[in-house]
Amino acid sequence: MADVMPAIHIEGLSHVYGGTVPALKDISFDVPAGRFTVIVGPSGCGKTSLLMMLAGLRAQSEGTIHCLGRPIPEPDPLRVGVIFQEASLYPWLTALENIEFPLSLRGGALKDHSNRAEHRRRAEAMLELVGLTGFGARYPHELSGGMKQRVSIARGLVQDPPVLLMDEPFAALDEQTRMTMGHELLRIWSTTSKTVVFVTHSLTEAVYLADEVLVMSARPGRIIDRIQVDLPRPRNYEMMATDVFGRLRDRIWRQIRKADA
Amino acid sequence: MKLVFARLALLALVLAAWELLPRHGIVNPLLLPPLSDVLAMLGELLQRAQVREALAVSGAEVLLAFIVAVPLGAALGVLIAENDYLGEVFKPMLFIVFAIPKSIFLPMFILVFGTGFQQKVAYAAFTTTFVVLMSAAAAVESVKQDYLLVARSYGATRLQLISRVYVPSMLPILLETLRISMIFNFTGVLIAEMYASRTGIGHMIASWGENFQMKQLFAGVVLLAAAAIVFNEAVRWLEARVGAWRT
Repeated sequence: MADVMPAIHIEGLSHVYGGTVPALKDISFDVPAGRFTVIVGPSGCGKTSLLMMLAGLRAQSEGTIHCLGRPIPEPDPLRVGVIFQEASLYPWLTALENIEFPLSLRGGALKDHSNRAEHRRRAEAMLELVGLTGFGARYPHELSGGMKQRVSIARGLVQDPPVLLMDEPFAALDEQTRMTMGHELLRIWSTTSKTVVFVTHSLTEAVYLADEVLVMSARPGRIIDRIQVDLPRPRNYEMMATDVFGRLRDRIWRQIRKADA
Repeated sequence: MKLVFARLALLALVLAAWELLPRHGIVNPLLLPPLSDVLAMLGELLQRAQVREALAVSGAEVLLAFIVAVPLGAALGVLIAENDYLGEVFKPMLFIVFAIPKSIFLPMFILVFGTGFQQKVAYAAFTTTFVVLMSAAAAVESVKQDYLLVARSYGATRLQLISRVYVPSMLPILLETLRISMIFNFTGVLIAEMYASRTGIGHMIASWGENFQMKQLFAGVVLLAAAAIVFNEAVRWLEARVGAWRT
């Protein structure tokens, strides 16, 4: 029974801003546990709003969101981790302290020494997972864009939430770093078996990462297409040159253009 | 290291000029007494009960005005930064009033508070509150929304948002505010004392000047400059320690 329950279940979700501006309209979809789902759509279509609602950071006007079988009326970091753009690391904390930050918010953590040692150990394990061993004492301004994003991913993973939401995490990176980070993300994902919902503007990134791509229309955002990406895993850069990759990318592009018109 | 050496050399040069130029009559020693004479006078002045009393009065005025102005200005600044409506209503007027030189209000303060202790504190607190208010508002607005969103997504409580995000994010600007507000506060007290007063170090400096007692005048200047510099550098040292991440 628990095995067939989707990690995320959304039904009849609509949202209206300030009582007048329709932002999302009648969105329904499921994300099975362990799947990598990418949402693409024109700017301002409400992708980020949708993600914020999934994270419990914003309330929807109508409809149901179930995350691991229960509604998510407020942030629940043990169920859902969110990874933001690179600028969201705290500049006054070191890389390691940034990763520890979510753990340190939990009650009594500061006083309990064994707890603190445990936090440190987990943060260090995360740092290793994202390939930054030895960089824990650096401050964000001493790290490159790609490294900052690795720290951000580590911070999102440190509480080991089964669901991971990513809001254009690589948008601020240059093209090369972006591809490397996408590849890294897949490597990390394959070792953690998380359910991922990933929002992006990049079609190449969408096809490269996803099991399934959801295409949203311009505002009010609706799901207008669901595209299964059947490329084998692990993915590699050579796949981008294949016909299958090109056709998938092309199909998404045509849907977005139609959606934007 | 070379730079530090050059800076020290410059300091030595200025001090040496101050000593030697009047000593050899190149500058009129009646207008600028040699440094060593000024320092000797400073030592002598610090022995005098009247001077010590004046220093105590001025010190108390500065301290009290600071204690009144900083929390008041900070509270008002946070209020207009946090509340959009109040911000929209008050900010334009505050910006305009901020531009007015505050010293033109001195006669009014004398009419209301007389020329004693209260008037010095009131006037200095008045000038300082504006500075603190503007900087505190800027400090709150400097906290990125993203920082708050991240903490909320990890389940931060209201209290944790303040202690773990607002405070560390604002700390360097708050210390800078403290430093700058002390400059305004100090200036406020001294101006008020020099303008109309019966005691206080500002008053003494003004009357030494009027009586052409240049050694005493410069001794007072050296003393106040030293006090201001010590406070400024102490806070700057703190700023550098807590604000290393600001680049």
